[in-house]
Amino acid sequence: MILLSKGGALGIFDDLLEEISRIKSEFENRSDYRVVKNLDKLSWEEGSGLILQEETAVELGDPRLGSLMTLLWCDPSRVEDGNIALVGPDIRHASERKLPLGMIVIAGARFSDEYDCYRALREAVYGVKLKGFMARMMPSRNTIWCRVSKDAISSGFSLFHLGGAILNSLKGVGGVSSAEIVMVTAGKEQVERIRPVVEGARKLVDAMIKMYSEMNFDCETCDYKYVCEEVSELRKIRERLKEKAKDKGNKGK
Amino acid sequence: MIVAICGKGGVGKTTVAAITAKELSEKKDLKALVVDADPAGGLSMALGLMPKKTINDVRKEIVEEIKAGLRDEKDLAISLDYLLNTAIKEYGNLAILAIGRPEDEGCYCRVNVILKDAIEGLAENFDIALIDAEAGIEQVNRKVLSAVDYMLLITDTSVKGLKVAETILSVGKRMTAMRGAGLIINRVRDTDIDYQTHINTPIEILGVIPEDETVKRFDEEGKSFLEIPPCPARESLKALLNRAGLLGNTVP
Repeated sequence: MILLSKGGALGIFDDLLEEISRIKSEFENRSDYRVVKNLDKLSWEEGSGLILQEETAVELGDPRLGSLMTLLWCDPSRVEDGNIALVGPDIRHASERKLPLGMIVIAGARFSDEYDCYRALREAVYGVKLKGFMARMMPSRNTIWCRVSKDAISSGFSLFHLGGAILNSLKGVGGVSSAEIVMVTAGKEQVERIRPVVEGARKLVDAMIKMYSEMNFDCETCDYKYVCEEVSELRKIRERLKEKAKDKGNKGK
Repeated sequence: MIVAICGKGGVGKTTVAAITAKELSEKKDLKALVVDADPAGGLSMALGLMPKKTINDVRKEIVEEIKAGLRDEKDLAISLDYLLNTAIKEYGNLAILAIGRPEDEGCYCRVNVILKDAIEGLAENFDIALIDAEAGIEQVNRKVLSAVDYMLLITDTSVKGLKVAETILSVGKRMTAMRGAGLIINRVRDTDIDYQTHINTPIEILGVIPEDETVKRFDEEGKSFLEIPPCPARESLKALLNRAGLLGNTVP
């Protein structure tokens, strides 16, 4: 895992966290809502490989059924540490072979830099490889598509094992001290409920990546000016990058 | 193991690839990736399994992602895995990928390299990857097949067919990682001739496939070769594939 220098609290997603709290409250009132906390008991053997249809017991996240995933970070105190929440059927009890999948992953992190944080957390989440489980993700569309093998199901694999593996992987990142995950399989409508959070987070991450990957700091010509105007944390990043660019320019003289 | 089926155009390469895919589909303990690398998509048609999306479509999607400029290399690599999987058509233990035909202009060198690496990475998940290569030498020359372990060269009884196979082998030795190669003489009318002594070639001759009415009928009627019943051509090919160790029994 990448060990990064300790930094301050990060806050670009603060407004979205309010929305997540509202969504979680709604989910908690449903009869198919469950939370598991005991990460220690949720270990599953690592493994990778392709799972073909004929080996598949359950497929999750077919875009036609509903597929959304997002990864956010915030001050560690705002995270319900260790919570693995599931709204809807677990794969072992699913009556259908295909289920929608929505996923919100939240890490409580202290990093000196938001982009470093994004890269380290992404590595931790996307790098999770479990035996009998295959996941493919499309970050720009926030979709996740998974298959769980028949062998894994008969060995007792559940979505809580997946949640546990993701949280454990996040906690292995230096700078991360808490993590939680909310998974939704209850139907397309419930998966769509998290869309405002997912799209809000994507807008912010896109703006952040653009800032870090370009050298032009002219805010007036930037497509993401409106995002920066809404989120003060992004403006701070931009100011910092401008200063860095200036410093480099001065050193070059 | 990555196996490429190569040869001159019109020697029955795609039919051999289709029947090989049929044999692999019956080896339930093997996972096989079948790549239709002919831009015309002949193998997909011969198998009756047209993927909804081709590798060329994936390439376009990746280009769009790069143009949007909102994702770094890591995100693109993750996305590529996702997009490649959406391009796979499955049939039992077989996964079929079609290359498709590039229609738009522009340089795709970087994207092609990313895609080639991704396909090679995907192939590692399978016991065998079978590539029906474009006719002739172009793909071998452009290093598209650089990761190939074994080259299955197909010819008919013409001298031209044999010469093209020999050229492909000679270039393949320089441009690929191949560890072995074998020659199959296809559509042979007189199977009594001893081709091992009759033909002078540096390529190891695996054997011959007789001309076969069943194969001809399947071709003419556009039937899926995954439905082809036992027939002399199929039986001969199966024996040759076993001899080369391509059906999971021995490593060549």
